Parts: sequence; structure tokens; C-alpha cells
Amino acid sequence: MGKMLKGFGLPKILGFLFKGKKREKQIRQAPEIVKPASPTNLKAKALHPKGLLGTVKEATLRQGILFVTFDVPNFPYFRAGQYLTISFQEGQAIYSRPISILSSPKQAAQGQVYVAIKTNEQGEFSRLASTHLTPGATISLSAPSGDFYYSPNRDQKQVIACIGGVGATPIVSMAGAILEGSENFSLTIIYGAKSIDEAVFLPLFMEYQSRDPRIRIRFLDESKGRRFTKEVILEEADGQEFSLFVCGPQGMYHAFDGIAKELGLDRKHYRRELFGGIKDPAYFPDYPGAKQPSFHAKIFMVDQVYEVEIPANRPLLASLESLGIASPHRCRGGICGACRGHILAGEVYIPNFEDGRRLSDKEKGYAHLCMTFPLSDLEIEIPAS
Amino acid sequence: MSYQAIVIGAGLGGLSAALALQQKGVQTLLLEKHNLPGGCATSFKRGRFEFEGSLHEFCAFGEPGNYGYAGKLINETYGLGIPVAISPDLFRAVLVSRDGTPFDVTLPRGEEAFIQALSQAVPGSEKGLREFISLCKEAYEVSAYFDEHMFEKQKKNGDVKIDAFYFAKHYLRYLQVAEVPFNEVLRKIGVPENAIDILGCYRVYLGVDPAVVSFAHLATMIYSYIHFGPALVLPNSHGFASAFVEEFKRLGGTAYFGVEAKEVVADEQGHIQGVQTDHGFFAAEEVIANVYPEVAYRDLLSKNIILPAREKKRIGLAKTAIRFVNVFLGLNRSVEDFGIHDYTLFFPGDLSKERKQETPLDYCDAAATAYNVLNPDISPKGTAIITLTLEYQDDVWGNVDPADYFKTKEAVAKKAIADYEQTTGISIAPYIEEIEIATPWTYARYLGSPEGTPYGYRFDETNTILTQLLSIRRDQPVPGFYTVGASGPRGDGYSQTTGNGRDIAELVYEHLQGGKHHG
Repeated sequence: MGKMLKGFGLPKILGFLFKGKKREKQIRQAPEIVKPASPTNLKAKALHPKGLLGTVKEATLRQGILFVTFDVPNFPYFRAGQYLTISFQEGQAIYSRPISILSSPKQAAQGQVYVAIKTNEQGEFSRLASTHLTPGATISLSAPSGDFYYSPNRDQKQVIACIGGVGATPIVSMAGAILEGSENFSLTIIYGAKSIDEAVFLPLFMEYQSRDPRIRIRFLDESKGRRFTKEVILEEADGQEFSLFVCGPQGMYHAFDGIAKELGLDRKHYRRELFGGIKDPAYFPDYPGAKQPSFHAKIFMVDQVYEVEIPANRPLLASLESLGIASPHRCRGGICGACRGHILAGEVYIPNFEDGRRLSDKEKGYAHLCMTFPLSDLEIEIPAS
Repeated sequence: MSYQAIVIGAGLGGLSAALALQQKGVQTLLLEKHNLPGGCATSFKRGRFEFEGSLHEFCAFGEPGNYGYAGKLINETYGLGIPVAISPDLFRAVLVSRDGTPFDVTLPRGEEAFIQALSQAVPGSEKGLREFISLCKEAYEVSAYFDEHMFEKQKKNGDVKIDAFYFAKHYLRYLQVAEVPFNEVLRKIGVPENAIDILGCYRVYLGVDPAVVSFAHLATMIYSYIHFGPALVLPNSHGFASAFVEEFKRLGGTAYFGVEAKEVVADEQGHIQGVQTDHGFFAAEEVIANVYPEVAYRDLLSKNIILPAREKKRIGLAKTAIRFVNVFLGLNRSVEDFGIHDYTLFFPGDLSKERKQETPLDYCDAAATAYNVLNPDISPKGTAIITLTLEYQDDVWGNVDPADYFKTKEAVAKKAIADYEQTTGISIAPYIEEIEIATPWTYARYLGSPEGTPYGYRFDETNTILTQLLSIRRDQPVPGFYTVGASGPRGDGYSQTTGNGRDIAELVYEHLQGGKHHG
């Protein structure tokens, strides 16, 4: 026999030996309950629905911008600045884009979801949006997503938002959020446009400015040679610390990387909206070029295998969608990872720029297909959507 | 393609079960509704930071030649070759004990160093602690023996049969203390109350009060930490979870992501037929769901299956474990810049004060994990990742109005950051470059667990690891259908859920070999 411990003795040993019996007795005496889902589970589900359907209530084309109002019952609360994705199909091809939500969180929670889509730029989605988003049409929308929003624990109390073109939409939502009490920070908006007519959100910002002292708007008329500069921003900052938020067309981001450097802003104080999709890999200086204009790809999705031809100069995700292969997607800018696939064979080009992949994914040949271009014939495994 | 077994859900329990089955030559299909494997064992990116999605740390991993339970299972049995970094310390704890004494103590690895540090902090505890460590060692050995032999013999009702004579001969003291509440044992062997309060900081990892949990449970855990040290997986949890999938596929297993199981289908006689998903039907007679049993029975399992009364009662008895908020901070200074030396800091606050929990601001225990202390490469040079973990005993997040959700999150994070700064005297708030706040709602969304707990069901005086392992067969009463995960007998934690997966694979294998089922 092993050594006994003082103060415990036989009763404890018996307690050990009969513990299982004690548990059985407890189980026998318990009620037979079917537990319903808890409030936490129900609320989490309502906050993050898998997908939404929006009915187009109104669609107006103004200055190349399609303003759409969706009726979406039970639209979840979101952080002002987030986007949703809009998808539609034409023939076999699937078209989809992340689009910033223009509504404030409380407007959207009441079922009114506004978006603004640029229609006069290159790209099939822009071209087709106005034919699909017509009053009465039912459109697939994703739940709100993205992390371009104000964070009180990270950002300065004063935000200077530099905006241009239709990219201004997240800031419209933020201004609305301040006005309705969803957010509380000072928002100074510097709005650059080619002319006052092109600054479509200017009247709205002017109105917000008149209603709330935390919101200020300054217009930069580019036709009069006004430009975003370090000086303009410092003038608005008025000696106070600030976070710089930037959203607008891709060209603007390049300019601001320089301005942020001049201002001595680190990443904490300089945030910009998703860069967005790249239509041609030649955009990147380190693109090695493809040896052929198109390649053969074998796509494995669940128990299906697709054998397709894909062009070299398009992101894999877009190529799959145009062939009607519904692949998961969200930000389309390489960041969110929704379109993560496994390159089983072949060579691809993934720009270093905005590579949102996880560490081990980079080592093991996973790719975010929205920012991946083929360099050879490929075999790819993708999740179902 | 036909499968012998289907695993629904690629959390660690599901991954472990799938890999163990495929290793045994059972043709297995793994289905996961997300586009990634891992469940809790995952990471996510914000800016230039990759954050560990939940708790990160292994108990009982060890190193080649000296593997603990988890290291042996993962790197030897499964052959995954996962590299880890091992902390020299168990934790640093800053607290005010129940009698009002303030403590700031760091407990190192190694039996002697551990005893010295704790008895220095709490004078007069050395003798009791030596007894404690020798009992811990016994508990650890028994648990290792048990794990080795638990599937060898069973009683008529399916319960694991243990060799009482062997135990009495070698581990009599274990039989005396194993199933007694942890704190009660410590008191009896003369460990002072203040030392009990310091060790009690493990509540955050344990999810249950050491006044209630069995001695064997917490003692095995503490001994594993003393002996093997806390281990952080170096490829990040995402790389760790992916390694399971890769090995599973290499052995011929099939894994589909983005496929959601809708129903575990059974015929009118209640025989399992397979799984209906949003991408078609897959046939198999054995189905393992990495889902909490109450959720599986309610939302997944065919209504042709009549659940035995005992199982309904077992679920009726089960109480949801604790829930968490995690505040993930990507900081633009290094741990050296801050002067942070502790990988794990527990700061439960003032235990002498009464603690009520009515709103999300009233979290009880708190922990801070400074990853770069252990893995300097986890974030870019000159930066650091700190995660603040806050614990909730009750479902106070269930009362939050969705309209107030984001504000509540930010307010809780603000309080936790201030608490951390006050505890350590280190200012971090001005250096936050990225922040993400996960609440029980977040975990409910990704894990589908009741009330968003990642921790399974609450252990208590009768629902212990031992009693649950002994009746592992009776607690899976539906022939051909099993649940696995943190809700399993070993409970939560990376080591535990991996172990739960391996156990379930044994049951499936037994059944496939013609074993009888015990409902």
C-alpha cells in the first residue's frame, strides 16, 4: 500500500470511488431541458447575418454617380465607415463590389440603406450597376464589414478626414453618426474635387456643419489650383493633435503617403480606406510579367472540379467570377482573407503591397485570390461560398 | 466518394478527431463552415499585426525528449512537428488577497524555483508547498497513467474501468485528495490562505473557482506548467490549426471549407446516414460534431433520433462556463521600450472587496499576455502585441442592447487598459496602433457556443475531468453520433480539446470495430 496522507483518510477514498455514482444520481434528479439559444447567441446572429437581401427603393444617376436607397429589414448596427458588398449576376458571370455605406448607423437600423456607386469608371460592375440596381429589384448584400472606422481607444479626439470623389462616402456616414450620437469625436473634413459641382456631398456636409459644432468642412477647389498639402492639414489642425483619415480614389493614397510622411504621422495617426482592387498587375513595378496572355486552371471547390482558361492580367477572383464560379469574397483589396485559396500547383504573382495574408499562409502557398495573378497553369483549391 | 466518418467543424476537437481517425485508416471527411480551420485556435490580421484569436497557450507541451501530454499527442502521435516557445515563468500576479495583503509575485518554472518564489512571497508556506508539489506530481502521474490505459478496460455499462488496486498500491494519497476541492486540500496540508489566493489566479485559465474544482484537475495543470512551462505555438495558432489539415489531407482525408452542415441525417430507425449540407449530402454512418451537445441536439441532429432521458438530463444539468472579452492591442513600441518582462500577468484586483457583476464593465479576473516577450517575431520590430483578457462569470453581455454594443465594447476596453496601466505603472494607451475588441457576441458568432463561451461546461464537485472521462461512453449515447470540443470531458484549452478529439476518435473506432454502444 502507498503512503496515506493525514487528515483525509478512508471517507475521502470512498468519496473518490463513489463520485461517479454521485454524478449519476445528480443527473437522474436533473430536469430534462431543451435549452433555447441564449440572448447573446441571438444578438450575435442578428448583428452578423450571413447575407442580406435589399430591395432597391430608389436609384438616381447624378454626375456619373448612382445613388441607391435599399430597403433592408433588420439591417444590423455597424461602425460608421464600414462597407457592404453588392452582388448581381449577368448571364453566368457574377459581379460584386465592396461599397461603403452612406447611411448613418441609426438610419440603416431603420431599414434605409444608402450607397453611392461610381458608374463612369472602367470595370464591368460600374457599367452594369445602373441596369441591375433599378427600383423594385432584389439584390444580395453582405453584412457590414471592414475596419475603417473611428476607434475612441486608438484615435485622437480630433479627426481630419481628407476625402475625394465618391470615396467620401464613409465620412458621410461618420458625420451622420456624430450628429445622431452614435459616435463622439470632432471631424474636420477637407474635401477635394475638380469643381464645386463634382463635390456632390458638399451641401450635405455644409448642413451637418451648421447643425453640429464638432463637424467642420473645408472645400478644396482643384480647378482653382487648390491641393491637399501638409500646410492645409496643419492649418485645420490648429495646433491640436489629430488622426488623419483618408479616403478617395487610388491616386490620392499615393499622394497622402508622402504627405503623412511630411507631417511625421505614424501608422497610428494615419489611416486610410481600403485601397481597392487592381485591374492590371502591370500597375506594380515588381510585376514580373506573364509568359502567356492566359493560362489553364484547375479549380477544386468542394466535390467539384472546374477546368477553365484564365487571363494573366486579371486577379484570379475576378476571373473565376466571370466564369460563374462563386468564390467567397469581401474586401477585394487583398486584406480581409475571405477569398483565401490554396495554390496546389503553379506560379502566381502576389503584390507585396497590401498583402493581408497570415504568416503561415504566406509560407504554405495560400493566396487571397482578389490580389493574386497567374504566372503559369494552376491548380487551386477554394472554399465554397 | 464514400466516407466512414464525417467530422463537422474544424475546431481543435474536430481537427484532432479527424486526424486521429484518418491515422487509424478510417476514411474521413472534415467539413467546416468558415473558410479557415481552427475555431478558437486561429489568428486574424489588422494592419501590420497578426493577433492570436483567443487563448494561445499550451499546458503540458514540453520539448523533444520531454514531451507532456499535449506535446506527445501533437508532435509524436500526430507527428505535426509544431515548434513552441516556452516561458521561463508560469505567471506574474498582482493582486490584493482576501485578507487585504498586496502581492506582486512572479512564479517561475521548476519545482524548487516555484516553491522558493511562492514561499518568499508568503512566509511560512514552504512546508505546505513541498507537500503540495509532491501531491501535484502524483496527480500528474496518475493522469498520465490514466490517459495511457483508459480505453483498455470497460465495465458492462461502458464506463472506463480503473485498476483500483494498482492505484491503492501506488497512489493512495491521490485517491485521498484527487476529487476533493483544490482549496480544501491546500488548507489541510498547511498551505496559507495568501498562497491559495495567488495560485487561485489560474481561475482565468480554469474557468472555475479553485474552491470548487477538483484537486486532481488544477494540480495536474499546475504541475504541467511547473514541469513543462507555458508553451506558445510559433507558427501562430492559424499555422498550428492548418498543420492538422495538411497532415489529415496527406493521409488521404478530405476537407471542405465554406460548407455548412444543416442536418445530421438518420433513417426512421434512428441509424445515422450522413450529413446534409448547404453543398449537398455526404454519406457516412459515423458523424462527429465539433459542436456543443445542446446545440447539436437542438439544431443539427435528425428528429428521428430519440434522445435518451439521461442525456437530456445531463444537458439540463450542465452549466455554461465563463465567457470573455479580449482586447487585442497592436502597439507601436516594443516590450523593451515599455519595460514589459512578463509574458503572462494576472491582475484580478482586490479580492478583499465584494465583487458584483451586473454590467460588462464589472469583469472579475483579468490577464494580460505580452506575446513578444516569448516570441519576439510575432510582430514587426519596434512593435508589440498585448492582449487583455477579461472574465465574466455570468451572461451580462446578453443584456446589452445592440444599439449600445459598440460603445459598450469601447468602454470596457478603456477600463481594462486603464486597469492594466494602473497595475503595472506602464502607459500603453498612447501607443495603440491597432485595436480589436472581441466580446462573448464575437465568440458566439464564430464558435456558435452557448452564450459565446469558449470554455465548454462548468466543472463542479461532481462533474470533474475524472468522472466525465470515466463515463465518456455513456455521455455519448447516440449510436454513430458524437460531440467533441471544449464541451468534452477534459474541458477547454488547447491541450484539453486536442485530447477530447483523440478520445472521441477512439470511441468511433471502437464502434466501427463492432463495439457496443452505451446509452
